[in-house]
Amino acid sequence: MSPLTKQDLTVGVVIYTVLIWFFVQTQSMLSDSSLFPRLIIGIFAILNTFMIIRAFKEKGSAKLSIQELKMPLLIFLGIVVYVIMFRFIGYFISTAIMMLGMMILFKVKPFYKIVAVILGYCMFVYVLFVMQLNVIL
Amino acid sequence: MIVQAIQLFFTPEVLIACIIGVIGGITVGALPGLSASMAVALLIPITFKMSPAAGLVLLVSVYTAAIYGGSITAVLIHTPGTPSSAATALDGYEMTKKGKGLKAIGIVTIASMLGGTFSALALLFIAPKLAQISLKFTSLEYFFIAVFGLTIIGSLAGKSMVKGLMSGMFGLLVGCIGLDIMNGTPRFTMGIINLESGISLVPAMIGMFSISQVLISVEEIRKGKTRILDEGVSGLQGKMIPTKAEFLKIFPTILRSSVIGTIVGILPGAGSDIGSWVSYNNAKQFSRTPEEFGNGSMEGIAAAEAANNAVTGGALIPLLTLGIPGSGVTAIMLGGLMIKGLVPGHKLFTESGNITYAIIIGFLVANILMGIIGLLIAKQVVKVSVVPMTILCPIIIGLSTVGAYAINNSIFDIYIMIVGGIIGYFMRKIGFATAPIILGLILGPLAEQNFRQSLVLSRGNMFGYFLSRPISIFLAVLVIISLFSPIIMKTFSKNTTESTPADTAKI
Amino acid sequence: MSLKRLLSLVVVLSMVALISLTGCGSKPDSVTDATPEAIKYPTKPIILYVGYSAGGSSDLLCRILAAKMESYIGQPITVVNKTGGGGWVAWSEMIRSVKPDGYTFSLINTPNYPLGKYDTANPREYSYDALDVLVNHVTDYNVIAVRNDDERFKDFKSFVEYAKNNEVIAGSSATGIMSDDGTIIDILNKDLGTKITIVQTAGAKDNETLLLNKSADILIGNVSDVFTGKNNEDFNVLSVFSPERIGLMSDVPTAKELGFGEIYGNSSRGYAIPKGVDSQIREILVDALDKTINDPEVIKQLEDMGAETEYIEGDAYIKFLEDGIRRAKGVYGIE
Repeated sequence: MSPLTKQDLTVGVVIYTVLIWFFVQTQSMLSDSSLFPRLIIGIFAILNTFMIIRAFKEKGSAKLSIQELKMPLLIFLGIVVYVIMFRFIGYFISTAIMMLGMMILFKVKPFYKIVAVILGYCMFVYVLFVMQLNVIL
Repeated sequence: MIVQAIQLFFTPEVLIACIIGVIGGITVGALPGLSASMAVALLIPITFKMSPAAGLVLLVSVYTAAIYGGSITAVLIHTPGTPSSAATALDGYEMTKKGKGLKAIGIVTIASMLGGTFSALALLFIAPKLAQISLKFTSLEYFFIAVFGLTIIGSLAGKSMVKGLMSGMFGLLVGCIGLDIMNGTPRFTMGIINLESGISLVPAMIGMFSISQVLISVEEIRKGKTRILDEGVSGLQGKMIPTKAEFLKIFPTILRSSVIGTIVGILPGAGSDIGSWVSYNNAKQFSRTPEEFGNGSMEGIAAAEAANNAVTGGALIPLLTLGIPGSGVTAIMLGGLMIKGLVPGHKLFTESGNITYAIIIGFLVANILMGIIGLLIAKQVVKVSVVPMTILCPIIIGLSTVGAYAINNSIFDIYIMIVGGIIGYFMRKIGFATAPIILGLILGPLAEQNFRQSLVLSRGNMFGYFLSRPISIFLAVLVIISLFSPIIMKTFSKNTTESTPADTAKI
Repeated sequence: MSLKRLLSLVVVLSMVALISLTGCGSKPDSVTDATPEAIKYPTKPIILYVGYSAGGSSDLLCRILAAKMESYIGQPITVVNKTGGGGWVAWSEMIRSVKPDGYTFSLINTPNYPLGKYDTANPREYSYDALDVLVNHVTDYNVIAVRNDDERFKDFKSFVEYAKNNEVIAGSSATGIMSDDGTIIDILNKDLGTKITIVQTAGAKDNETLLLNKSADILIGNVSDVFTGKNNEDFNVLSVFSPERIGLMSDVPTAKELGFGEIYGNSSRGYAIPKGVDSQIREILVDALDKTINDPEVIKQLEDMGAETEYIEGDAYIKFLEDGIRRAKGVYGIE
């Protein structure tokens, strides 16, 4: 059973687009510098073509279901928000909020466990990073 | 002099430095984002107030212990604590999922200890000779070593060779981002100044390994599975210490990897990350069970960990004898040495001999101590794999973020981590292996720079230059063997899973 | 537990957590100016930005400075590495977003900082006066070194003769105006007719390695680069490109005294703050820097590493920087 599926056709197209963007970028470089990237883009494009051709022949249609992706993408969004918060409110508060939110979402019970983890973690990070290593958070 | 050195070592200040160094090093190494180089750099000001022997013993102890520590989290939560443990994460985590985390930690600890001790002995007894060997390697040799490392991509490809190679290409391309070192032109930097030095390796790695792992775990949480352990695995199995049979199987690997690691270490600029990959690849080629690699191979993690610790001792050799650091971390230590008035060179082994040998002894003891401490805490540490993912995931996110930030006090690095995370996640979902990207990122620039340097050094006559360098020829042969070994193995393998013969030929 | 009680518990606990966490994790506030006569500065740790990675010579310099400066200024100095762009990530941030409150200062080094504007591959927006430059700490003059056993060049004169007729390879980690070594090489090629070819490397250590393993013929670097090699008698330093002989290598002749004219080059390191810092605060800072840089212990520590202290302050420092800029522009014909 080949690991390729019809879905890889879309992947292949996306990759082509990305490669084209990279190639355009190489136009503005000195010729010496653009040699290696172009070589890689070339090999990459050939491999991509192989993949697309084989994907075309495939009968399987293992697709990513939206349902499956929902939770991870939600968490990813959460991480992005977390980082933005980090910039403005500081590490400890934003981390506390992030952990609170995630653990409630994951239905961690009982509640005191959540608080214990958050407090324990923040204390650990504070002692190690701020006090010992002088990192500014 | 050795007697004096031993006396010097057994003073309280130095002994304490050694112990604290090992414990601190293991801790820092285990935490994602905190690497050995960071730990050593931050400790240098602290060594100002210590005696030279104590200060340097602290640094070398932290160095080797941190390289070991990185493997702990690599094995247990698929989050290499240091770049040198990226190879360990592959097989180590697979073992943890099967409940064999304890055994994995045991193997990793023993391998690290043996590798480090081996290189410590090399440092103690044959340092000057090895240093001379390191001088025989220059740009062309480095180029071939880098290419050899890149041929590993084939074996890391996982189920689809084409996709694995494409991952590697992606890594190579991303490795080009930044200022071209040869002439200063920006490549793919889009005007962003933070990209001029390229994509920082550690945040990218944290993203691709840890964050993507969190996202994958989250899927499973949604499905109701809240633990790292696979279905059907009831709890932690097995003992920590490998059985006699297992040990006999992995011992040759450890020995070979220690040699490889020490050699990579003595090469200036080549560090534990390169050493672990080269050794992993080598172990796979020599293994009788290569199909295990990537699925929880004991040989694999033993190879990677023995090598990356062997690099630490190897790297100290050119540092102490020539003043040329053998790795990134030893580059930082050079400053620590010089501030104490310890100037590298033969004077270090004669005039300051007692201090120098005390440091080397300290390094040797640290490696052994690290193994002992590791084994003692292993049973406790491995319980991490039983902590529910619902709690682990937020902690990993928090830890990864602070780790990525702390390296350079840079929010930009966190962005890199996030981008790495989402790319890593999708790649894994659609069947692209992520390890080749890291390889491409590390080795691509190495290969390109050294090749272009070789062009200049060959003074216009590349062919003649190549033929005049026996080491290059040897390495080139190794590369060819490495390139064709997967093909040879596939053609001769009895259980081909490919549907058409055409697929086998079309790598 | 009913939902309402759970909710109120959450609120209370969150408030407690937030309040206590704010205590531990708050970012430092900026100091507001007190009354003009009695400025209370500094009242909290001061940050020193280093645009280079941990363990490098710039980083070590800053850490040595920071360790000693605490006793002169009364507050700890925290060294923060902000690497990237050859130092420009740190300087861009200093110029654009750091507050001129005296609680952040930065290392600056030549040629990267003052000459960034003239970089042909990647010209920077700012010229050296975008920051308020304070003092110079070390000046590391350029030297030329060869292997001690190299029969071809026993001294600078014989080197120049050889190099006029034969191609000679040197490693260099940057080229052109942005590199002090690269500029010296260009001067030698242009004015003396030598045929030095550059092989690009990632740093000074690589250049040293190339010389040791016989890939390169010469090493053009700084005093601190060849310090170890010279002491180990691996290297023979043929000449130093400075106006006068330098203390750390007093047996090495200058190019000028050998009759080759005023060929000067160096890489120097100093400190700067954003523009607009209160003059009293500036004075306190400069005073502490003065005492630290001229502290005998600090001078000795740096000497052990091959770095020569050269304290220059105020207008003299500005002139020093401008001289360097003028020289470099002259070599490359830039207006």
